[in-house]
Amino acid sequence: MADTSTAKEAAAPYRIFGVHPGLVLAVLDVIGLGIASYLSITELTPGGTPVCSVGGLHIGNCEDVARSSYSRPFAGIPVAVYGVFLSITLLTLALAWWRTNNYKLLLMHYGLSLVGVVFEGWFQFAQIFLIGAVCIWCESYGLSLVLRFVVALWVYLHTPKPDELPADELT
Amino acid sequence: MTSNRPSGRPSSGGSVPPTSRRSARQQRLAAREANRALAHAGTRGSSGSNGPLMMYTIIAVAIAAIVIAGAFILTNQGKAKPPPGSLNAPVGSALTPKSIPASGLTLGNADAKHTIDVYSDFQCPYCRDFSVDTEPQVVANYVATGKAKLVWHDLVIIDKNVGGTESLDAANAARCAYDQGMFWPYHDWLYANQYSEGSGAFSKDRLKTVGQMVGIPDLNKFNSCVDSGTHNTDITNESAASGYTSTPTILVDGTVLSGFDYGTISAALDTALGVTPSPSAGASASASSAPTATPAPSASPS
Repeated sequence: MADTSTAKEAAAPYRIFGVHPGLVLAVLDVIGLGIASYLSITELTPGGTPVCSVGGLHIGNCEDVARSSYSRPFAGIPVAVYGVFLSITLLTLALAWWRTNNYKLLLMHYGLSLVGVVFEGWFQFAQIFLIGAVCIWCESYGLSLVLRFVVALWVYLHTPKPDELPADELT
Repeated sequence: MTSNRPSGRPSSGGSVPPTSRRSARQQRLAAREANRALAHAGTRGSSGSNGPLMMYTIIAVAIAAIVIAGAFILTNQGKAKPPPGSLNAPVGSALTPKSIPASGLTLGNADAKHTIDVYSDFQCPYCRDFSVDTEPQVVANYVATGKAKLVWHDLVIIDKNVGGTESLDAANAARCAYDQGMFWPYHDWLYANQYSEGSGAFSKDRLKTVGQMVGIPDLNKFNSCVDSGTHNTDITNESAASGYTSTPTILVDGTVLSGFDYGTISAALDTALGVTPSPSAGASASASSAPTATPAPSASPS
């Protein structure tokens, strides 16, 4: 006999090139975690600033962004630290979804990444119009968040919800 | 029994051979077919199944709005202008011992073999931290003992970030104090009276008040210098010529240090001096021989 409570929430998702999208999200989460961790370490190290140049080419001005009060709005803690916690939570959700196919986990991933995307929109505004400098690392993290949000939304829209499928397709 | 694990098989069912016996092409076709079936099913039920999505979207946007509002309020709260009483009555500070010889922007024995170059902005909070917490230790352990001299350089960058000219005005005022041999006391007072960037803490009126309280000998000359921005061009040119983009930037014998904490600076100086300190030596030495950073009593302009 089928476990109907689980069956209500578990359905095989739309696959991306044959790969479970939970793994795609997990990879993006790991990339975001790496970027946020690097930013956090450099900003929490006394005198440390993120490297903002590639091969001698200066890209943006990470120092100005890192040292702006807009980068530490809550109790002086760098926003990158919150990015680390967000990425760890998203990674946990993605892996849990991959293991269980519980679509509510995908929804949570979608919702949390949307929170991040909206905040990134604000931070983008702050960088350009309030700080007057752009940090390439922050941009990269923002891009990873947007990708996570888009993938989660796209997969959700292309995956039938459990209560839309005949019972035999849930097994 | 319902499986909670990803099955890897098309959810549309059908008689597809086991994965191990299918060719790669067959597997691709099967996956494509499965996705097509899922997309069809998703479209089929999309009319009434996006309620949860909408709910999560609304909740997420609401949370983000609260977070952004909090961030904006808290960030700008710190930029509130200091109360008028604070503006009119700067707090005194004397971090730089008067016993140390000073020549213009150089503190310590001008003939000292080693040089610590400090590129700083009076509005920069990290520079304040350096000036109040680290510089006194460096001065006590290396400058006062004649091992090194410390040279100040203006690096005006905060104005570019927050608008206004308070960094430039403060740097100019310090140079006006320098003209009368009062750079270092004025430097100490500026950092002691720093508020948030662009808050008006270094308005020209307040800079002149600080000058009065520090005890600038010729106050009329000083005030005129502050008003006219006598040193602005020199400061701007020197800032641009330095090529540095962050403050504080610290150099020891011409080498840019990776940080501005005491450990980094003392390690560089010890290396230059050929000294190999024990891991705890720097900290204990600094704690025991730190200058008597006795802030002067708060005073009010007469």
